[in-house]
Amino acid sequence: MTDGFRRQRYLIDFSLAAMGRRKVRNLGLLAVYSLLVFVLASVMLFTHGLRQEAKRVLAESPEVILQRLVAGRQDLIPPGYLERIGRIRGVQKIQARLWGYYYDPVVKANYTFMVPEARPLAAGEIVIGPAMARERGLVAGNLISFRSYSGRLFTFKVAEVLPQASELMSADLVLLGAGDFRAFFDFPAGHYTDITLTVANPLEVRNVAAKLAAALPDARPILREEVQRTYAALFDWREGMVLTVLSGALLAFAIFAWDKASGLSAEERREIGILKAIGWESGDVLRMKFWEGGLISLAAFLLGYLAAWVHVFHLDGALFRPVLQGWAVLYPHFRLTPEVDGLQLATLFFFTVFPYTAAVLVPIWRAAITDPDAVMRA
Amino acid sequence: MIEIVDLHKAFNQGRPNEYWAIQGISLALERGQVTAFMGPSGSGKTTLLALIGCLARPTRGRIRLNGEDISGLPERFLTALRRRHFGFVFQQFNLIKGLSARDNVMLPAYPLAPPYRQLRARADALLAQFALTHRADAQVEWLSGGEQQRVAIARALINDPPILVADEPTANLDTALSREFLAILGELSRAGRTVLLSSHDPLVLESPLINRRVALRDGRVVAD
Amino acid sequence: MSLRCVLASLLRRQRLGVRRLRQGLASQGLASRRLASQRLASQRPSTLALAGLALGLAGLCATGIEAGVQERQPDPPSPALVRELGLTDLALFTEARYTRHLALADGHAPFQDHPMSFDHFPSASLVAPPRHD
Repeated sequence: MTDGFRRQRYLIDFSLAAMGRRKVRNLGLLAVYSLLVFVLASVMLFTHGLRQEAKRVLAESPEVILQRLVAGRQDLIPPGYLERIGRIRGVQKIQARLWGYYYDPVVKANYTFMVPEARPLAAGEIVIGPAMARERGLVAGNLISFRSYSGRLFTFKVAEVLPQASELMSADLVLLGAGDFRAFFDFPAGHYTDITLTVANPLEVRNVAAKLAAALPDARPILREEVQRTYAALFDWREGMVLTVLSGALLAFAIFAWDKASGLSAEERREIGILKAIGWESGDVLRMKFWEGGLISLAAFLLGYLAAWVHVFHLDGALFRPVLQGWAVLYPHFRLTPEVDGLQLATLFFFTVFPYTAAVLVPIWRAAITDPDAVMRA
Repeated sequence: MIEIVDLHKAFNQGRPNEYWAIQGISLALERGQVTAFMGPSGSGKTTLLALIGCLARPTRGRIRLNGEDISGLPERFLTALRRRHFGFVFQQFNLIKGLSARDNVMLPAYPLAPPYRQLRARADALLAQFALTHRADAQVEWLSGGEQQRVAIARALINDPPILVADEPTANLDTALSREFLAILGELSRAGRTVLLSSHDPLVLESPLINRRVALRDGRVVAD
Repeated sequence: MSLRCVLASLLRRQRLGVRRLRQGLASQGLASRRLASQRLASQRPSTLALAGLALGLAGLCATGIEAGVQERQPDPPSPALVRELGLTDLALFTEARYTRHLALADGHAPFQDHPMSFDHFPSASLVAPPRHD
């Protein structure tokens, strides 16, 4: 153990013993401080996790989706439309999709009905998403009836429930065969919902979109990168929103901390005088105070951050669910993939540990450089 | 050991409330002696002790400690000197409230950072010497006045300084405790420590332990 | 007959021994726990604080390790499903048709039912959801 370390340990001893005198106050401060870091870190980790999840999952979605617009609204793809696209260089696959929404008055939720091209489903059989299965209490083999928009009752057999791990994407899905889909929705024959295009080379995507727009003036191509950007922006905005709401709390804490840290009482001033008189240097006093601020803020940072980590990645962000949930009836149960963002961590560290430590040190400066004989004159 | 030559100290120099607390004192203080500075309040006793104890710097004049001129040294060096050579007992004891007696005793050694076991053993030995072992873990504000003063003396001795400076040590003590203090003073003096104290308490000043009495008035020596 | 007797007495003795051992261990455990708590209380505050900080930093490292381990895990089923179905949106906002697939709805989608209606869904704000009854 070197001299320097031993000296710092003595200073830590003193600052802890000094803080121990106002145990309730300092523990209260630590608790509030940790709570604040916890909320901030939770928001950051949660939105970052969602953003990463969206990025990771949506990397697999089709490069281009083509919608047809009528009077500015999405409309069905009529027969013969696919053929008009013709051959475009770089496009690997063109596929017309069938999907739509269905409002289930029983649970007051919207489902997404979709026809899987690659998964052949027998007539009268459906595959359902896990949130929907939970909400309606369904397992594989159960029967379920939906009243279609035309008023007729359709009964389906649940062939399979999609895996829970994919719930963030598939919570409300109902997969069914093309024949069932058309019958259920009275979907006109030969029509489709939209078209997906697979483009192998990412540099070609913009060209393909331009060609599509030229060939089909009534179509709107949606690129995957736009989708990803939408989601990134969405979570940024959401994070910003929460942080804005939090900023009030943040300011309140800043005022409280400043008041607590910078208001040097006469008693503390006298103590600093005593320490100087019995042989402490100004530097020792400053270092001791540095430890006081540093220990509290570092402890709060670690406590808050670790609690946030557990909250977001192991308790599924239970506190944020109401914020994100909105009116969603079929809210997915999902677990985010833990991820550490160095920059984010550094930002959080800088904005929580640094200001408090500084607030503790600033007022001490003047007191620390007063003459030690003030004690004798008092 | 300590030589003082034409010492002056002014407070608020250059301002309308300028005040010269010490106005030309010259003294030579010898090792191993108990010297008492006496005089009415405002006579400059405390200021003189603060100057000798490196707590403040003189406005004019010289103080030599073991032949070394210390009057113009910067704060860092003064602090180091103070730690090595002087132990202080203040009128108000000036213990840090809320800390245990042992912690208070150990405080002056923190910047020197001796190994913890060693320091603690030394503190416990000092507490035992002043019959405070049973109060070592008690917070200082729970101690009686006499106990507090003994803690203050133990604190002054933790760095084993050759010189003990005591400013009005008996001002807050009753007669019995003052006698107790004088007994401790005798022990320290016999152990070879130099003691400088200020007092206007006849009980102290008339004690046979005092080797030398210096009377001050208005920042000047009036009798020696 | 005699063999059975011997066996029974052996068993009894063993059981007794175990019980005694257990009692001994229990009292020892209590004593050592008391000793440990005493030792904890007599520690220097800096020891406790530094140990706490070290623990926290270890936790911080653990989060990094956990993230690293998760990253190396095989692909969960979501990307496969997305690839298969060509999905475009997270199922977070299922309250209305036009919020379910945000990527596919256009900028005016929330107003599509009525040109002058405001977007009143809480997925666009932080209002708590009302009851559905």
